[in-house]
Amino acid sequence: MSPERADGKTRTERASDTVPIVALVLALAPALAVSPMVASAVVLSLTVTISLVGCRLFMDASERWVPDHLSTTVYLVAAAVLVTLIDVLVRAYLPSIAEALGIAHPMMIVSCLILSRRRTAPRRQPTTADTLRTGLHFAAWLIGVSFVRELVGSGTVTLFPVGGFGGVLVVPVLSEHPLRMVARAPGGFLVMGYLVALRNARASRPRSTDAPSSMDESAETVREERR
Amino acid sequence: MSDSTSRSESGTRAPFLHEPPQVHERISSGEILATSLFCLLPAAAWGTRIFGLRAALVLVTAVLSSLVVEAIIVRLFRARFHPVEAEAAPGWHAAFVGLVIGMMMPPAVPLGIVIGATVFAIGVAKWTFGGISGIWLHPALTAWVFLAYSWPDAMTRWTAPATLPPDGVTSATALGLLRVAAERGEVVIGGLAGYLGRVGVPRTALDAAVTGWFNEVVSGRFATALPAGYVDLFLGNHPGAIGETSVALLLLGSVVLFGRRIITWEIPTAFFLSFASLTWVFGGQPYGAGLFSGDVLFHLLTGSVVFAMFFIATDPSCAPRTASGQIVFGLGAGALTVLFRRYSGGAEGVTGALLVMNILTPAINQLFRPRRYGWSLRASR
Repeated sequence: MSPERADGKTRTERASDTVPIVALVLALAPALAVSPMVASAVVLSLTVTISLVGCRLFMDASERWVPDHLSTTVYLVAAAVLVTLIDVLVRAYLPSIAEALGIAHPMMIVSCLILSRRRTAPRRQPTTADTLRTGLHFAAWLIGVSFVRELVGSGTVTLFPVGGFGGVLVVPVLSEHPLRMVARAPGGFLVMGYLVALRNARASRPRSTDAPSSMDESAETVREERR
Repeated sequence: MSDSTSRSESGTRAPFLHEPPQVHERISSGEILATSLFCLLPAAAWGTRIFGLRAALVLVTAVLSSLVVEAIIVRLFRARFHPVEAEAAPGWHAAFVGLVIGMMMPPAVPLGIVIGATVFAIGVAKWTFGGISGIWLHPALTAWVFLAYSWPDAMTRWTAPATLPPDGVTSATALGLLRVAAERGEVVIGGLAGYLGRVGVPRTALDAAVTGWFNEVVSGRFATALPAGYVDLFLGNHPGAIGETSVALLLLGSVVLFGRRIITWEIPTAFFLSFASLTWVFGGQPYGAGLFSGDVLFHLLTGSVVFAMFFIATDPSCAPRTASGQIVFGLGAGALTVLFRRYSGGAEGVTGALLVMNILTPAINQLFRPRRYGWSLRASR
């Protein structure tokens, strides 16, 4: 994934290259499970971002006491603790969303995204800023997919009830004739496929002046691998 | 966006050579598509005759809107036609897909759904994958399924045909009525068409005349009798999708397709064999009869089996290439149709069955490759 430079440091990747949904089409299951509702996508992506950054900070702080061969185990335990903590909080304060998320939320412990950001070798330490960026990109994609799916699939946008606002925006024309298939799993694949296609099209567009960037290279590698 | 641009881009090639593969075809792809389209027209015209001008409006909307969608996509994305399609007049494929979509629709369907279906078929199922050469799911089927699951009410609102005497009882399809009977656990004896007659589905005078003649002349010798109602089903005097009711006219069109060698026998025959045999074995069970008592004729004449068998399953872009692969494709499609008719959410199972087989087609192509001449299978392993 991350090509190493001559000096041994990992080159800074564009965060969107490492968002599993987009780059690897990983972490699809939670994305498909939750995305028909914007609010649940927001909660899920916040969970992921917080646990990612939290685990990173914890691992950085505890680096001195954790031997290398145990780092993955410790990382997983940290992720489990954080995700479970957030899950309990969501169940207490946002019961409706916890119900909508179901098992997808506690399952984030074993999310590919979280696992992919663990430290694999001493030199492959992802920085906190990188991790935060990955989390935020994941959030942006998840919320984007769920927004499109909920808007087209049921004609509403579910947010959080605040004060007098009930939490659900109803779009006039779409809610009367929603394209229900989009809100189901096949529609999720469809929307995600088009978003990935859009991103790949943008990434592979030749740039006139500057040298080929990392995006182009990565797109090229992906294409090579597909062959 | 014609073939000439793609050829001038390649530059070095001699101008009089076609791009490889340089295969001599006795019939061009445009001719194939145009002939298929004209073979569908009798059945479509019959749909217009029994369901009125509203059905014609649906058909015209479907064809025009697919042509417009394709033109827009080609302009907007500067999409390039595959040489095969560009060489024939581009647009025949879109028109064919549009007509198939129109013929699969119920007559009273809102026109917005028809337009949505063509947008989905041409935009998503065809051009997302790169045009005619990239299609892996039949565009019309994909669009139909997408819309049927999005607007199930509008896609199952049927119209009684004008040729039947008005009865005010029902405009449900024959398959729909039978499904209700199966869910209620009713026992049906003496042919499924007989059941339809008992619940009050009207019949034409022609049906009685032809059935009487047939029983007198033909089946009397074999000590059996054709129950009333099947002739109406065969000729198309029953509610259903616009282009799928008249089995007779669909068969007429398929004869032309066979005659011009546009479709080959493998897929329809294998489809028919597995569908008929499995229906015969298991078809009686939902209605209280035992094994080996299914009403094959009834299941063949209702729904879209015949339409799908000759005009959709044989689509060359998403069916296997080799003869043996096509036989497997047909067998699987027939078996899945029987399965889905009995257990899936809707009354008709052909669409789902064919989509599954379309998905399996690349695997079938892998498994049933032609053997290389002079190579024994054991030696190559």
